[in-house]
Amino acid sequence: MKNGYTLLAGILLLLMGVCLAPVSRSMAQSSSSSDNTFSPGVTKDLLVGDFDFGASVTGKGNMQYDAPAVSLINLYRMNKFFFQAAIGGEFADSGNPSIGVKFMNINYLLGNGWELRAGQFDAMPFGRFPRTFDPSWIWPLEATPKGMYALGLTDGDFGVMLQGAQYLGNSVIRSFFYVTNGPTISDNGLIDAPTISDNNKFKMYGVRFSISPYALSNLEIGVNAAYTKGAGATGSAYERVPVTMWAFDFNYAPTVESLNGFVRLRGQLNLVNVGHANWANTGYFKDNSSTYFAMLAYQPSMSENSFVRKLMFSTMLSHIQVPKGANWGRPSDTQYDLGLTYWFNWRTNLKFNYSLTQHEGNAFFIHVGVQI
Amino acid sequence: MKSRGNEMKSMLKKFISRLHGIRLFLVTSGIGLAIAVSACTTTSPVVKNVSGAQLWAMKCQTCHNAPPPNQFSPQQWDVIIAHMKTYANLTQPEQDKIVAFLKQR
Repeated sequence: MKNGYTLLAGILLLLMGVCLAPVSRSMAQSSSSSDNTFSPGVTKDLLVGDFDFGASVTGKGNMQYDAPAVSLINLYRMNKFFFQAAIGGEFADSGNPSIGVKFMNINYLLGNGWELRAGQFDAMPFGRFPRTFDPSWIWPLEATPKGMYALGLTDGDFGVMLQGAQYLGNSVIRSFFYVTNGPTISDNGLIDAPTISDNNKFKMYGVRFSISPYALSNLEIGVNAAYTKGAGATGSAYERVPVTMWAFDFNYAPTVESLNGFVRLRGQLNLVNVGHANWANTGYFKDNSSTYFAMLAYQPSMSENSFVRKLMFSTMLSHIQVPKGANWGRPSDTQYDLGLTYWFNWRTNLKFNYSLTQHEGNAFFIHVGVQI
Repeated sequence: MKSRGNEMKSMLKKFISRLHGIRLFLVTSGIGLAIAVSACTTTSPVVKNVSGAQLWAMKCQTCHNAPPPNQFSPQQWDVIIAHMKTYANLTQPEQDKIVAFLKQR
């Protein structure tokens, strides 16, 4: 069922791109001066994506070519309606290709900064990563923050959302409100991605608020919260086990003239609190888990040397905290990363990344990331 | 009489404890919604005096390298700005000024 849905989504996406691209190209010859009135035939369609490929060397000296990964995103706008869908392809551990829908939603631009959305949203509620920063042509390291994909919700969820951005004096308040099907939960207490069919009658309610204290700065501090009254399947012992999730994120990318370039400072803390339950094999344990990361990058973009100004130096600390008594097949772990990225242009990079974890050893990556 | 009073107290306690789980969410989102709606200001004096080029450099660079204006056609920029709205949650003036600058090429 899930594969059929995925295949259908992929076919629809491809058909839209194939059918609408020629229309869009011919319409590109004429210009539309206003988007406020509906003009039949004036549609806008764009196909973009990203690609990642490279090699890695583990601490044991084993070198391998890593499986490539690609995402294709179809963007389609008709006046105030906007549709976007992304499919991602990569090779699973078995070596077989894996294709899945990353997100797919229809959006209506209400105006005055408000937007109504419906469909599948990626990676709610955990702040900025992986929703915003994960594409290989954006993130300067090959390694992702430890644990950021480990807590089950990063595959996205299905529902409706209202988002908006307004001014409060010279500050900007950005907000999201959403209702989705909510996560599932395994019998070992680990929350897992939502399924195609909602596993119970309880929905997840989520909000995100962020503030940019000064409208002309790109400093943004966000808080995210989501709650569901029950995550387990209907009829199971965990049907009414509540889950509360919090995420706090920080993002700042100032130009620092004294450093002849710009700095990117990012951080995020995810907290997951699962209610009381007697889990299979382990019984009860306090099911609170967390992940965090802090990343600092610097690029001397104003250097006189054309090679140096395309270099980005980055470092990251990340951690996943697994509850005591949990049987999740992984321990708590900390990861340290150092990276050097060369930006050929705004959309193409070559990354050198040394990554060290407490429990999984170290690895060295050389990867190329491209926005296509 | 006493037992009835105790029964009602117990029911009230149960009712409140059921709300506990979503209470924090409701309070948080209610405050947030109140702020967002009461702010209800679609522009800011600071942003009024800033050019689209400055906003493009500032806002786009927050997450990624900013693509230059000649990278896409005006029609494609209309699509991209809608995509960026969903991710960056841009204000209306930010959207309008940035896309106007990018479409000038």
